[in-house]
Amino acid sequence: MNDHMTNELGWMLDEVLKVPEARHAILLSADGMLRSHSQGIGRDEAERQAAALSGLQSISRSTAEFCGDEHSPWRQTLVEFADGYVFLVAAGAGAYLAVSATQHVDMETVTYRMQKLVDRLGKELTSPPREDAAMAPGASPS
Amino acid sequence: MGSAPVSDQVYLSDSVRAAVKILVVGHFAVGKTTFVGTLSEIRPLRTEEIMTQAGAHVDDLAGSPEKTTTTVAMDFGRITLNDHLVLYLFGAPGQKRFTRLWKDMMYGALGALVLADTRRLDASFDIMGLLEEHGMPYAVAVNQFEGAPLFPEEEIREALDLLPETPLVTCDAREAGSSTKALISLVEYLQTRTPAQEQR
Ligand SMILES: Nc1nc2c(ncn2[C@@H]2O[C@H](COP(=O)(O)OP(=O)(O)OP(=O)(O)O)[C@@H](O)[C@H]2O)c(=O)[nH]1
Ligand SMILES: [Mg+2]
Repeated sequence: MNDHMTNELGWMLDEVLKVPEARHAILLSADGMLRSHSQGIGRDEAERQAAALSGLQSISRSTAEFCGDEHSPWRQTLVEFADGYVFLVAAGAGAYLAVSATQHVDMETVTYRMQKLVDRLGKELTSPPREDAAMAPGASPS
Repeated sequence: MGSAPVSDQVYLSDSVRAAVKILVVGHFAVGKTTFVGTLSEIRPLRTEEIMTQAGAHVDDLAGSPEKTTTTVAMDFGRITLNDHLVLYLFGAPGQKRFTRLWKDMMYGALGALVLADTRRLDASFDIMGLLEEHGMPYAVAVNQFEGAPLFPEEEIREALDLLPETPLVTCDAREAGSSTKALISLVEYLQTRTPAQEQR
């Protein structure tokens, strides 16, 4: 990913965190690799969270049948803690956006802002294939 | 609040180029969580839960009676192999009921390390079958448990029905040296694969 691209994504995460009481934002690709993170969270932590969030998305999706129709498209996962929330939404094909916030956040505002940014920057958020020149992928998306 | 691009440095050097996703797979209790925990240079992601009675019917604990927890989602860790290569290790759950998550986890991975136990070599077939089904290249590392039978490499190859080119090594998942070597054998194997093999 070139610098221009990375900065664009960083700018987008800044936008989301303008919502009062928002904590951190992470952009990850569907394979669980970190693409960008807000400044308040360290890289190591952000990479671990990116992996966890991809697992969360996968597991969330597998509960569709429990909800009624196993083919119903997944929209969002919301995790609630005693002192806050984690929101996870799709951010274009092959990417997800996660935002954490305190328990005082206005949930509608967060999801609205997340969705607006995803819409606006949908193209930029789509994960390009990673450039691993030495070793090409052995599998296509399942 | 400002944002930091992924390229900001913690202890990854500037010259680090390739970030490679690798799966660590294997049957129940073969040592996947131990392996990722041994090698990760960052605090690993763990999703361990105490095993319940309901699970005990399904999960064969014969080989490791002291084991009290099992992975319910995934393991994750990072290891910088050299200046050019960082491996992101995704450990998949070993139990059949998690196959769906397992399939999602293959997305974007370049290869898999299959951990095997010589006391239960047959338990590795399902795992290798799933990988082959998805065209995922793999190497096999025998995680050598105390008291587990020691077989000559040829016998293990035969028992697992490995292709001649599939790397087979032995490691102790609790120990970094042999575990790193197991990963390196996988990476070298991935690097030798020709473009023709990679286009699937
Ligand atoms: N002797 C010996 N014990 C090991 C080794 N690797 C792991 N163990 C032990 O074997 C047990 C199982 O290890 P785990 O790392 O939990 O196995 P796992 O594959 O992650 O298991 P699941 O996630 O439940 O499928 C634990 O009690 C470990 O301490 C090894 O190389 N030698
Ligand atoms: Mg485990």
